[in-house]
Amino acid sequence: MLLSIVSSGIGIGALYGLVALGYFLFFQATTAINFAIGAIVMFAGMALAVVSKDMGQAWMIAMLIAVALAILLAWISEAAILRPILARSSDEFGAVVAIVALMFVIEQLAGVIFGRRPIQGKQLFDAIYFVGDGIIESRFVWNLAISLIVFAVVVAWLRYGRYGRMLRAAGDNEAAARVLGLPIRRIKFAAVFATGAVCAVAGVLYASQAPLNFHSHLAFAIAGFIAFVIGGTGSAWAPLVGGILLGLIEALTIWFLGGGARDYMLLLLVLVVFSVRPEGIFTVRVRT
Amino acid sequence: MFQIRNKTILAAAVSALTSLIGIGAAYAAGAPKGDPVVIGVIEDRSGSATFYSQESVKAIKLFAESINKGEVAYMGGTAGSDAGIQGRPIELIFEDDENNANLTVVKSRRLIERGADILFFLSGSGATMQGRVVCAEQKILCIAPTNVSSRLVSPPNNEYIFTMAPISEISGSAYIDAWKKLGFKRIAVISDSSPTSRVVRDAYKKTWEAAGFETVADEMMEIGSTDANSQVMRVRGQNPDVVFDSFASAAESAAMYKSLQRFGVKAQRWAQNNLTATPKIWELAGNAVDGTLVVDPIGPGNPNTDAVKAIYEKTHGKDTFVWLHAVVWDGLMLVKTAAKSAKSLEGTALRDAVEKITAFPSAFGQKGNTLNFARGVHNGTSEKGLVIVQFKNQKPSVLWDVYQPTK
Repeated sequence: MLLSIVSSGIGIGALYGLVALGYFLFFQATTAINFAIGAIVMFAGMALAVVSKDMGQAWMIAMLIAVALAILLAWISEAAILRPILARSSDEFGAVVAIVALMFVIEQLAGVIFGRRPIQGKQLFDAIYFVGDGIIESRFVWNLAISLIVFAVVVAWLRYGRYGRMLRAAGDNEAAARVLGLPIRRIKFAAVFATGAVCAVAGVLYASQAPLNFHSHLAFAIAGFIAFVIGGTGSAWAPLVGGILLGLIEALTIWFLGGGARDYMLLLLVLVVFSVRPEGIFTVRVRT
Repeated sequence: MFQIRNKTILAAAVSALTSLIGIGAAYAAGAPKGDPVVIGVIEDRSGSATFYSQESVKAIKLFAESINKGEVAYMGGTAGSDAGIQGRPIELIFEDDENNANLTVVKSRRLIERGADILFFLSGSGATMQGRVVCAEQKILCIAPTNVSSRLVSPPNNEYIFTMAPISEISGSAYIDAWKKLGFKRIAVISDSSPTSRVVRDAYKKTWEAAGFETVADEMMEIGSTDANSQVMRVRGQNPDVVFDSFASAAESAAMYKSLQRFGVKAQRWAQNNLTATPKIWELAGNAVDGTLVVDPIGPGNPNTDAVKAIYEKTHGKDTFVWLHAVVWDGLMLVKTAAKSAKSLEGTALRDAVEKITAFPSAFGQKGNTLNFARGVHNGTSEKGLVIVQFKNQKPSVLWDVYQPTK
């Protein structure tokens, strides 16, 4: 039985990790927390479901549209919302308010475009494996496998890719990067592009295993943010560790204490992280 | 060429004019006249009750149009066969409360400011609980046709509000009678984290616990969760006789049915009637929903239901009619009936008129079901307003052959 709970926690946690990776990449590019990440994930998932099921298009075409829309929304949140606000004032409060407003704009846009009813894409992974008295669902195995691949690609890009390495440099110190002549705008675009793509993968995975509606984004935004906070910003793997830890804590809390205790436990977890280790599990190491 | 073109235009104009005169003549025969009767509608266009609220909105728009045309089906004898209400056209105005109880009060006042004579609440029960305060304060007739919480029609602030669908205590009683028949004792309930789901869960739970049933598990699924695996495993561990679905949100409800199926939970599945009101759940849950039993306001065999269903499905297509639509029809017909005898749209006069209505033929319930508002209760139904249906082939298509409510 515990195996079912643990596999469920890891499988869902891997999805939280992907959402948290969206936060991480956007943060690397802008040093801002983009609370619209959950809405972008939802929008991509709903787009996939509507295009592939309601409009009858091939799944691959639907996925490409979902990816394009997620990248567009991520780009809008940086180029059309964040950049102009931060250009006028260094006060980050205005930027956060604008991002939250964008989150609700995306929510209502999804309601208008895709409808205000729940929709689900094609069920991609529905096999169940019986192990002892428990079960392991194949979707959880795929969630973990796909998340590991996405994280590996992102880590490799940040470590070896031209723009990835420049992003790390600019993320550490944007002013110094400007002085060195790094193409900041193109670096940010690359990071935002990657953010959108990661959000799209998360949205596609969500939509292929559960119904989504235009309210689903809040759960994604909160879970992704908590996973991002737990993991920290010290490593590109941090969001995955944060996500899986969160998924496990969530599943085990519900199992041992009931569904009503979930919110209290998450709140407690965030309070503990903020008070004991606000920088998260992985921290940036600086040579002295 | 110029002449030909002029002749064509002239012919078209004459034809259009003739058509208009023709239509006008036909419409004038029974058309409602005078100032409109303004019905203010609280709807949810963007909150968690959007899906079923908008189903109800579709019904009120269509049925108001039908009544304005004098299409009253079987209700002519009770509500009058004249078009509109008191011979005046119905005009609908809307406000979106986002199923947010704080907004419902503001939006209800706004509807009254905009000239509403009567209010219809088509949002969640939790929101209507707050909105009914405005009804009592402004002394305006309010109808919440789709809300099932009995707290809505209980004091305080219940003086001007009426509900149509069987309240949760009556449905609860029907569930209890059925479970007693089967010798069940142990109930597990699963709900979602929305306020509406919690209100309904509390009402049902209170009813079955008062009747001596034991709640062996009370699980909640967070809105936005993709499965209810942990909750379902806790439920399975308690080995209940019944798993009761008290969900208000379609996506989470469907995910819960899939979890129940995956983990092979053997207990009989029963659901409150949000399941029958939301065909989207049936589609999303697939065959995981089959076998589930629901105490539902509509079922096969009631000619009144069939008559209203025919009106609805003529516009919205086959297999689209659910109980929400039937009770919205009844709500409008209740207003039409009360306005006929009150000869006024003043709130207290309408309220008093409704409180005298007995033997009101409803569009829901068993064949011959009538509503009685003269018992001092602002919900006129009894267990005859309910049938027990079972899901087969992803539809609530079968009347349960073990037991039907009889009180």
